[in-house]
Amino acid sequence: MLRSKTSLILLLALVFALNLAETTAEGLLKDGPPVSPRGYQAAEAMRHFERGHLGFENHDRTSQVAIYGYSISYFLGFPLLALGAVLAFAWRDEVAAFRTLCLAVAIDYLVSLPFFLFFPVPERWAYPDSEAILLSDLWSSKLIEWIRPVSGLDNCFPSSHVSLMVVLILVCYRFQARFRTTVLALGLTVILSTFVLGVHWVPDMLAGVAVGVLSVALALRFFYLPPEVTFEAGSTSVSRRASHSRG
Amino acid sequence: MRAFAALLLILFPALPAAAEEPIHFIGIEVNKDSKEADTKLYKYLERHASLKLQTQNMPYSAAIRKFSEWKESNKNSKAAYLARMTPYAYVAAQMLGAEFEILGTYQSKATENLTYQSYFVVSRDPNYFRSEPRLPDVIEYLRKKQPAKFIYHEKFSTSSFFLPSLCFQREHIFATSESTAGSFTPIQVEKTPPGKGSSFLVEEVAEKNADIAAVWDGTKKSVASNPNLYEKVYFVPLGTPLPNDLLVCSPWLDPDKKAKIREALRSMKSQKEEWINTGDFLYWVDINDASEALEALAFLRREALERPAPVTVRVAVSETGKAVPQEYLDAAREAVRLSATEFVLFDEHFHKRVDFSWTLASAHDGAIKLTSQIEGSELEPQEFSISFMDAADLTKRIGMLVHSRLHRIRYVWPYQEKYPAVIRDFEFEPDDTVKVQRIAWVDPDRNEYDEDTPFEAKIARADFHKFQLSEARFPRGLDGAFHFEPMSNVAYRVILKGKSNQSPLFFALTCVFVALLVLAMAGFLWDLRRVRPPPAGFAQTCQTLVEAYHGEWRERQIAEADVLWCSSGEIGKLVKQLQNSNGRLAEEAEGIQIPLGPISVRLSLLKRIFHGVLGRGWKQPVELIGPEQVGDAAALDSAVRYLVGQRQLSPFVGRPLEWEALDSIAARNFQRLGVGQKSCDAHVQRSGTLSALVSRHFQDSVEKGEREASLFRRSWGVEEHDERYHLVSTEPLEGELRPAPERGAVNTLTLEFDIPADPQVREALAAGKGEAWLLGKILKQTRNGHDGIRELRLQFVPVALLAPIQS
Repeated sequence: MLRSKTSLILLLALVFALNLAETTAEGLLKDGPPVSPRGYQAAEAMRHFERGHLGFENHDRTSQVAIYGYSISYFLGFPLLALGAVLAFAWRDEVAAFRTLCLAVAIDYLVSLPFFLFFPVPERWAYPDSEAILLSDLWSSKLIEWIRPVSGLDNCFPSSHVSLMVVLILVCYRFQARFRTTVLALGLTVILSTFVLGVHWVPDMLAGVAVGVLSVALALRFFYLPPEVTFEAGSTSVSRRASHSRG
Repeated sequence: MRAFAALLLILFPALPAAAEEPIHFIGIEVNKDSKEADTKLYKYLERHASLKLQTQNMPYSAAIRKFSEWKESNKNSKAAYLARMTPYAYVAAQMLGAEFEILGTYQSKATENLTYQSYFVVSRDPNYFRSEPRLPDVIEYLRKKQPAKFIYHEKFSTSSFFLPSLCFQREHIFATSESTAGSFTPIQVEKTPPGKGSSFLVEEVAEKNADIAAVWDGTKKSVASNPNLYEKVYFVPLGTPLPNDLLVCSPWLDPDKKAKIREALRSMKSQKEEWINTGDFLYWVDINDASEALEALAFLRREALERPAPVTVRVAVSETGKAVPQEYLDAAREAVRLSATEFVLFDEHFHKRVDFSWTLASAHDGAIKLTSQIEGSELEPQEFSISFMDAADLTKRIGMLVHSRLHRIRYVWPYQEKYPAVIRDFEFEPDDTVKVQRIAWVDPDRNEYDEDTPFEAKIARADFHKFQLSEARFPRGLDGAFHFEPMSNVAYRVILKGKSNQSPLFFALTCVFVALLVLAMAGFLWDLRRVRPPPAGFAQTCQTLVEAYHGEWRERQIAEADVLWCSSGEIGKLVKQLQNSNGRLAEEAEGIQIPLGPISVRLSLLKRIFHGVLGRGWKQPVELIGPEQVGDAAALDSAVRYLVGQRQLSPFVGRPLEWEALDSIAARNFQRLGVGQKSCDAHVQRSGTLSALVSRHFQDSVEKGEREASLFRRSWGVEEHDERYHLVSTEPLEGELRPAPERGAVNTLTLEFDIPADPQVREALAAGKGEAWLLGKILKQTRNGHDGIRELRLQFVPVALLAPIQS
């Protein structure tokens, strides 16, 4: 199951479509203000967790370097890194890396989905008492509008940007991707951008890291086809390895 | 202990004297009488309160500045002072940051009271006044007599300047020489020559050299003794009573001394021989016994408050942005009203000018974008993205922005002539750079004014009371002072921008971003170099070529169909041999101790933890499994992967790779020496001195092939003998080699081995045009020679024959 690259690409497409459908459905079903009272309660809990150590006073006075740099990381860097990694792993002869990546992404979404549905946390800037603004708005409001169809306003916990970036970095290191150091450094800017731009709370980011690590660990533990096949005693069949392909 | 105390006394005899530092006694110079009265007062205090005083007299403005900058200008910021202050000088100094505690006030000889009254003085001109005029008549007089001339002797005089200026402001009477097209009444304001007192003001009005002046009770009383003068003027009461001069001290003056001073002041009244009785000063009283003076002072303080002029705000929907619901527009308007600041909503039927334009546009996710622009300021508009829960919350959010972030407009305080100052009345911390604009009021109520080009100034100093501006572009008089005119309609509008400092956290995160970018670039270069560097020498180059030759077996998975033939026994032997050598290495490695701070951990434990956390998929050596467990093909697969992965194959690959290695070395060196821009193909001549080197290395490879398994691809011919197939592959060598120099040169390499006859093998080989990979070991090498062919024959013990990948 899910050993061919085609099926794995379909899996990725399915995850993307599910996310799109879930976000759209949430938007359609919402009848009232963009953030629900429950959302505000959750945001208050997040703020309580941070214990007021991370003040966003004068947030809009952050330097232009940070505004443009982190916006590029969040809105452009992340999808490009993800796409680059998908293409690079899909291009490989062996399927193991691509399979791990795709399955980890799917697991990541499945783990996150219940939180999105039952524990709505609004983005930091959308909680007035946080004093944060959406920093990318100082560049263009269109940036957030572009990703809004796949990133709900109150689908903040855990941070998908963080968890998927963690998945990407771990898979790159596990499968010895050539540009893994670059991915690590750029990935860290993506992770930090979720905070700096005023999108995510610290607990979102911590949960994102946890979900990312968990997803990769599960993908490796339960779905990974290692190069050395674990044969059952007495079996002479090697048909399990028939998925070998060349590009 | 006693000896130590005695030593201290010997070493520091001056210590008790230092505690007796004199108290500064500062009096404001009004006239000769006031100076004399000050002398009597401080001598009295020295006697009755046991004080050591150091006296000093100074003019109004110097005294105000001295007290407002006391802590900065004195070496000992806690040096105590006593001062006699006129009421407005007291209030003005306090507005600029001076700290006072009032101790007393005096009984006036003129009013026989603790307070006094201020009066407008106008000429008894029957053309304007038919009877004793009242204040409205005076105002009417000024309106008719445009421009009337007002004279004063001191800007900080409460009665002669401050109260009249307040009255003029209320009545829209301004000192101006400019167009009178506005709704205000122009007057001419002139200061008398230095040294002239308030009596001179009355004389000037009586002589019709001036139309109006203002004086206090004392002057009125002294003029009353001169009927010629008194009957030429009217005295018109101006406003409520004012307190007499005050005796104040620094709040940090020793409480005992304060108590003694109060006690001395209280006792002065009962000791007639100690009365001041000079000028208007009769005697001093404790302020706690002068409630009417305190009440009058409170009134003055309220009058003196710098009230920010209303700033009009027009709230509208952005024409270019997305539509905003009406309720949000109303919420923004409510915010203006409820902010309790100088901001007022612009009323197009009343106000003439808009100061702030707020435009609202819907942003994403229910938020709104508020853009605030100060008209005519040349400042960039401020943009705020505001999230909110509902319309009421939006009002609150905008109100908070008004208080904390929005630019504010204030005016230069015109009473301060030494430096341009803005009286601070908000907590908002402004940016160091401010915009200043000279404006001329036309109609202050309707916010109508003419404006000049704005210019920039810096906040040179800021405290809780004022912002002191840089003096660069403010106009000065010939005397070097700033001639800000409190009675003028000209004002300097100061736009205070919100401080533009980013928080340290975000500054740090910006630095982190830059560092990560640098790291990414360095990482990219590192990653680019990750491709293994070119081998350094001949042996390494040969090894690299061998590994490249075996490269496809790193990822290739051997299926049953890939195995043309194999020997279970030989596979078993090979696996066993590899397991034995692997086992020894593993045991050695597992025992290694890793020091982790104070403890050391066995490598095996770390590996177990690592694999436990990250799953079994993490890089592990290939597991070797014998054919008896999993069958031939799978065992072969594991063995080949192991051999390739662990680089345990012999370097023999069915032909000498040494010439190609030399070609590669030559090509690299040509490139390095600039022979061609790119890596070019080099071809080393297959003879001469290098053949000895090639021969020696090839011989080593062959010998290793006798000890270790070789894996290579050749085209095989099949001959059948006695139910066995004899597979042979013969190829001429590139140039002659002398693997064993004593046995002569060879020019052909023949490889051969035997397997049991199996038609399927023959068919499979035929299908692949004889091409197949052989895994095996060299059994022996022999030489043959015939017809000029000098042949090296290598006989193999075959383990498996594998089909090549079909491209």
